[in-house]
Parts: sequence; C-alpha cells; structure tokens
Amino acid sequence: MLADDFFRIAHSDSTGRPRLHTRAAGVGLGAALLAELMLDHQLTVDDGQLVVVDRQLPDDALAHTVLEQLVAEPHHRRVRTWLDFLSRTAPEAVGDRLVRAGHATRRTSRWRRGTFFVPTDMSAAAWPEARLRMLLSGRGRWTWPDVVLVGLVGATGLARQVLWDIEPVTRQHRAEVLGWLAPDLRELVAQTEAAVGDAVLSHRT
Amino acid sequence: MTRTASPVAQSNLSRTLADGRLGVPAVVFFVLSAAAPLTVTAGVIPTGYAVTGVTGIPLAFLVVAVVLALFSVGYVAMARHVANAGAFYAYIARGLGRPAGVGAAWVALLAYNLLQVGLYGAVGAAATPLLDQWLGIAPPWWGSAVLAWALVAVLGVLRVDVNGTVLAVLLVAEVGVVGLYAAANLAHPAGGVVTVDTLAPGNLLVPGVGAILALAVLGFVGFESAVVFSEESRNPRRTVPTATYLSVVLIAVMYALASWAMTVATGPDRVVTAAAEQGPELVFNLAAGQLGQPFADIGHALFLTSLLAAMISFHNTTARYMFALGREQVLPAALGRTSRRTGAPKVGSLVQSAIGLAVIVTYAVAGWDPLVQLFFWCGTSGGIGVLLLVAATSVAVVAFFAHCPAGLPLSRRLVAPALAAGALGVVVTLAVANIDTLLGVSPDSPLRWVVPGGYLAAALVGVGWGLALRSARPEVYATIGLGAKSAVLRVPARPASPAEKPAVGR
Repeated sequence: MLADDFFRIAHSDSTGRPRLHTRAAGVGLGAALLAELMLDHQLTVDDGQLVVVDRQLPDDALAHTVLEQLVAEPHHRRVRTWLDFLSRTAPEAVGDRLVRAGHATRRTSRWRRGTFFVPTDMSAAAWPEARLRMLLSGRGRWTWPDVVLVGLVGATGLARQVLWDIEPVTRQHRAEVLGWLAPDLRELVAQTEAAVGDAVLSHRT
Repeated sequence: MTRTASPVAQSNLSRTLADGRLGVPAVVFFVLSAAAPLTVTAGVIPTGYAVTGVTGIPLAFLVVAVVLALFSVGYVAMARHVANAGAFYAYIARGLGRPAGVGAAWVALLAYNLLQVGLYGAVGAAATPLLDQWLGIAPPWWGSAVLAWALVAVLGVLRVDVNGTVLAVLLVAEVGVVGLYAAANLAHPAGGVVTVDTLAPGNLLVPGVGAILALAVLGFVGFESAVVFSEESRNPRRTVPTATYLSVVLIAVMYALASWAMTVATGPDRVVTAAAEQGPELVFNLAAGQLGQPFADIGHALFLTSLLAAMISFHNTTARYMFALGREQVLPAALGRTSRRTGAPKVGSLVQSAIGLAVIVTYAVAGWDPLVQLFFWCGTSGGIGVLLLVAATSVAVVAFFAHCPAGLPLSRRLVAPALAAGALGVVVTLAVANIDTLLGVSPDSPLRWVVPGGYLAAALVGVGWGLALRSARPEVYATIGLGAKSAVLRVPARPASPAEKPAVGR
C-alpha cells in the first residue's frame, strides 16, 4: 500500500524513529491515504477540491475509514483542509495498519514522548526506498503507486534524505515521471508540497 | 440556530481541526515576543533621544499607532486574499503588479537584514559590561556579538517551537520590567512634579519630527505577522484582526508610557543630555536609583535576553522571506529547502547567519562603533525600510480592492486604506527628509542619501528582475507572491499523451 511505503521511507528501517519532521510526515501520509483512494478511482481532485466518485467502501479497514469520513463530511471539500485533518491522524493510523499486517510492533518510548512503530523485518522496511532508487536509476517497472510515492517523497523534502547521492541527477527524471500522472494526482502532490511549505511560513513545523 | 451549534461545526473533522487552533491571546503573544519590549525601551528609546535630540518620542509612538491601526483595516481584509499573507511583498505583487512585488521583496530582504544585523551591535555593547561585572572579563564587543551570533545560528535551524517557548517566557518578564521601571520613574519625578510636557502636540511640530516617527515605526515591526496565522486561528475573520489591532494598541501604550516616564524621571529638558551621556544604561541607572541595584541587574540580564529574542525573531523572519522566495523560485530554489528533521527553513537560515557574521567582522575590523553605527544606524535604516513597505502595501490595498471589492463596505476597502496611504505618504516624506536627524549626522553627510538610495536601488533591481522573469521564465513569474502555494500553480499542463507513456503495470 502506498501509505505504508511512505511510512517506511519516512522512518528508520531499524528503530522506527522518524526521519522527517512531524508535520511534513503527517501531511505526506495523509496525502498517501487520499492517493490510495484516487488510484482506486474512488476519489478525485478538481481545482483544490476533493470529489468522491465511488462510495463503495474498500476492503482495507483504513481506506474504509478515510472514505467514510470523506462521505460523512460533504461540506468540507478543500484538499488542504483534509491534508490538515489527516496529517494529525494518519501517522498513528498507518502505523497501526502496519502492526495489523504484522510488519511492525508498537513501542511507546518513556523518555521521548510518542509511539514508535518498530519494523519486524528490516529488509521489508527498507524495500520501498531501495525500489525507488532502482526505478530512478532506470531499472524495474514503474507502477502508479510508485510514481505517486516518488512525488510525495519530493514534496515533503524527504528526497534529499532518501536519494541524497542521486537527488540532483534524478531531479529531471522525477519531474518527467510525475508528468505521467493524471492531473488530479499531480495536483495532490503539489498541494502536499504547498501544505508542507505553508507549515514553515506559519511557524507550524 | 447559530452556526457554532450546527452539525457542521460539530463534525469530527471540525473538532479535530479546532484542537490546537490559536485564539487572540496566543497570536498577540507571538507578535509581541517578536517586538522584544526591553530592546526598544532600553536600546532604541534612549539612543533615539540621544541621537535625534527630539523629545516628542512618546507622542510619535501614539501617532504611528493610529496610522498603523488605520492601515491594518485594509491589511487584514486583504490578507484573506493573499497566499503568502505574512509578507508585505505578496500584497504589493497582488495589488501593484508582480514586478513591483519582486522590488518590494528585495527591499524587505534588505530591511529585515538590517534590523537583524544591527542587533549584534547592541548585544555586543550590552554584554561586555555585564560580563565584566559577573565574570570579571571584558571581551571586545565583537566577542560577545560572535557568541550571540553562534547561538542564533544554532537556534535558527532548531525546532521553531522551542524558540517560541523561550520567547514567551522572556516576553512576560520583559513586560513586567518595563512596567515596573515606568512606574518607578513616575514615582520619582525630577523636581518632584510629574510633567506631561513631552506629550504636548507641539513636540511634533519641530524639525526632525520625521526622525522620531521613523524611530517609532521601528518599535512596531512585527505587528504585520499576526496574519500568517489566518489558517491556524480559531476564527480567521475575528481572531487575526483583533490580534493585530490589540498588538498595535499594546505596543503603543507600552512604549509611549516607557518613553514618557523616562522624561519625567530625568526632566524633559535633561533627557537628551542624560541619554547621550549614559546610552542604554540610562534606563538601568534610573532603576538602580529608584528601586535598588538588584532591580537594575534583573533588567540588565533581561535586556540581554531581549536582544537575543529579537535577533532570533528577525533571523527567523528573514529566513522565512528567503524560504518563500526560494519556493517561488524568484531566488534560487535551494533557499526553499527546509531542515528535514526540524522543518526549519535551513538554507535561508544559514545564508542569514553568514550575512550576520560578515557584518560583525566588517565592523570589528573597521573599528566602527557597535551601538550607534551598527545598532542604531542599521536598526533605524531597517525601520525606514519597513515603513516604506507598509506605505507601498497601503497603496496596494487600495488598488487591490478597486479591482476586487470582495463584498466589503466602502469604509474598509477604500476610506480607511486611502486615509492610511495618505498618512503613510506624509510619514515617509518626513522620515526621508529628516534622515540626517535620525542618524545623527550633519545635513550634508552622504549617509543621508545612502539609506533611501539603497532601498531605491534594491527596488529597481527587483523590478528589473521581475520584468526579466516575465519574459525569460513565465512559469516563475506567474507564481510571484504565492509563497509555498506556488507549487500548486506550477502543476504543468499534461505533457505526455498516453501513447508516449512507458508501459506501467497496475
């Protein structure tokens, strides 16, 4: 799942500690959850507004919850409002999804307030990052979730960490890859970048 | 049924988003912590009396407050239509065109840089006697300045909310000290009589009035920042305007009271000489005589932390300006990068630190005076820059609402902004005309042309840069003034047709 992959890239594969500041990680995860629904053609973005196109509830419990929330609050449509909302709930929710699937265990740190989701299998946790590196060096086949993932990794500022050595040379390539996306997904990525940037300008990082 | 009682406001999403939303006190707190009250009271006001020799400073704070309150009417109304609401250049880009916006951005960068680097002079001058008293060491002013610089440089890339907590605690202590000192001054008037001489309107009808008006504007810098919290406030339509007006009023009352009380304690006819002789020490010497040495020592320590707080605040403001311009790609995109772990605008912050160090080194090598030539000159020059920006923004507000009335009453979209623009025009003219008085140089000094000339050059180069972007990089030109939201506008029209796409598995 897309949000699971973003979560794994945004956290250390050994300790589960964050590699990105809370606000950007939250916005990125929220965007990933919306993108999951968009890739399944249940949701689309039009001019900054979210539009539910298919109300059939998905099998995945978390996607189910997100779509249910979207349907229940028809008066809130702005992508930015939902990114703001989901940024607060998504980190915990996606972490729990990883726990349910057996990919992580929950650990509460006593001296650093907060919960960590420690990966049960380090190589599985490291796979999304490795995969992106492979794809960006021209090996392997792109999938739509991976295209969105590369967009969100760039939009949240995580690219410089994940792809530090190949970041400058792949910038052009990444822009090209993003160009393949449907306009609604491209807009979601741009809204994510704007939300992360605005957090800096309003001292909310 | 009221709106707040409707199911809309009771929804899960609204409830979650309401958590952590800011109310009026939180926003005012933020604005005032950037104002750093003791820096103005002990640093700016006595130096202002000494350098300008004009005693109408208390009144100038009140006059400027009225003008800025009037300005704020249109400013907060327009803020809802401006993407990067915390930055004056964004209003100017929207109201007067994008090239003017880039010109304003460059003026703003220069002004905020001056405000920030000037403080290194004050901290150097203020810390050295304290270190002597506490530790028995007397480093040169630039030694203390470099220490302060290092602290600011580190805090600049650390988490911003850590800084916020520190600033809040300092603010409460500072306001307490400023109030206490003012009360003590009033309780110990020179000659036994509390005189209101300096509050007589005649004090403003003197040559050099432009100088003290510009000086007063310096005390209000930061009032413009409440609008960045629009999206984070409980009620954007009420919280931000209320916080802005309240900040202007509180700043005006605090500084008018403090600067008037100072003249009462020294005697209105003695304040200029006393300030010239004692500098920032005037405030603490008065307190030591009236309240006892311990109270002066507390004030001394807080003066130092206040300077640090002001430095951090201006440092962050400047770094955010660079960040927004980097995101728009008006300046190199690298400035739009943040620290991955803390989210601080890292590259902008580092550039700002580099400029600060370069200035300290230059002044140290040249042997220039840290208090007057660095702190006061750079500070007041920066204040003039902010005044120019406020004035240009007031015109932009009028122009913007002329095209887009936004359903506002005439009083808010035209009358108040036009009155503010007129008043600010007068203040700017007086300030530029009296710049020699403000800097304390002779009327034929070339310095009087350096400051307005510098801003003019920055504005012209900026406008030229904006025009160059229009023809060379229209996609960047289109996003001028949008700050972080420029990302959304840059989403390109669909480039590849499905046939050109590589085979993509689902």
